[in-house]
Amino acid sequence: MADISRARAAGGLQRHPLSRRRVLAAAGIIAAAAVSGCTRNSSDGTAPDRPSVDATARDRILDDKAALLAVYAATIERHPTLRRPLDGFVRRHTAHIDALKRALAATPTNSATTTRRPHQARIAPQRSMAVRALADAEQAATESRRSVVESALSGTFAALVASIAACENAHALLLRAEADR
Amino acid sequence: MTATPERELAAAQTALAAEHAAIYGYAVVGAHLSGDERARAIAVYQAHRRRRDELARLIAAEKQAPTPAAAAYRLPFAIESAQDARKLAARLEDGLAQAYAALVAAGGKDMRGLGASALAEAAAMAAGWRGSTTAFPGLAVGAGGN
Repeated sequence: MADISRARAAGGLQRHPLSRRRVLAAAGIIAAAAVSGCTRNSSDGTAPDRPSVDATARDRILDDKAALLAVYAATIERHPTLRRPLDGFVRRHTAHIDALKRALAATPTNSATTTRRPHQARIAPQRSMAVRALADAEQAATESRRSVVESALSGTFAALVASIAACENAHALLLRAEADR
Repeated sequence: MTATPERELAAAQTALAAEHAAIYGYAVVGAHLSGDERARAIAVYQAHRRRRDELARLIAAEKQAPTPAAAAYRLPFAIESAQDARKLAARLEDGLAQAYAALVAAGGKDMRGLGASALAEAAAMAAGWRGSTTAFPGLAVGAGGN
């Protein structure tokens, strides 16, 4: 029988320790690089003079995130009972913004990450519809990340964006469950 | 990090190993659930079998032997209830998310696309079983926001 692993890789099921170490090493490298902002900015490893493709994509995602957070804020303002259920969603988006700003640190962001809050009239008066609209926005966000992941110059940045997209996908599922509650 | 065929292949093998483990694990999960949850576990089990086959095909196309499944896997904790089964299912998806995030980091465009889709599915599945998610599925970023 394969060995026990306390690692989360393979869900704690493990066939042999070497495999576990390999997964953890890979994940650790990603995490360390994501936090430090280590990245390859061009095919020859030198920093380009103009903002890289990745930095431009990062700024676009930051703008998206600001808009998304504005919709959350407006939704909570319209439906104050949603403040608590939505708190974790807002915190995770904020964590994404922080990580994105740390990523590609050599290229400062041009994104202001401030977007005017949508007028409350645009938020559905029914709680369930308002939550469903958030789910749709999360779904659109996750789908829009695909091209960034595929075209990123840095594998580290691609993995960070893919993880953020995965979180947004999970958000969409959780929000639909909340809407149906 | 630079994508190379060797790194991409190694990451694909690791993802395949995680799929093998998940398939084994979901058989256990399904046995401890009933009704809609059991049906969901069976559907997810089938989805993981398809993903396993897809990865094995891609690896074989590179003239490499796909990592085989172990004969058995030791579970990380005893599964004695539906609650245990849900917890195991979420853990399985966490493991897959790690493997697919590594595949995205190591892969070329096509493999990144596969990895990103599988990572997104794993995060949603984990959220479905657990009722919550983390800010960075598949990554060990301690950025909180859970």
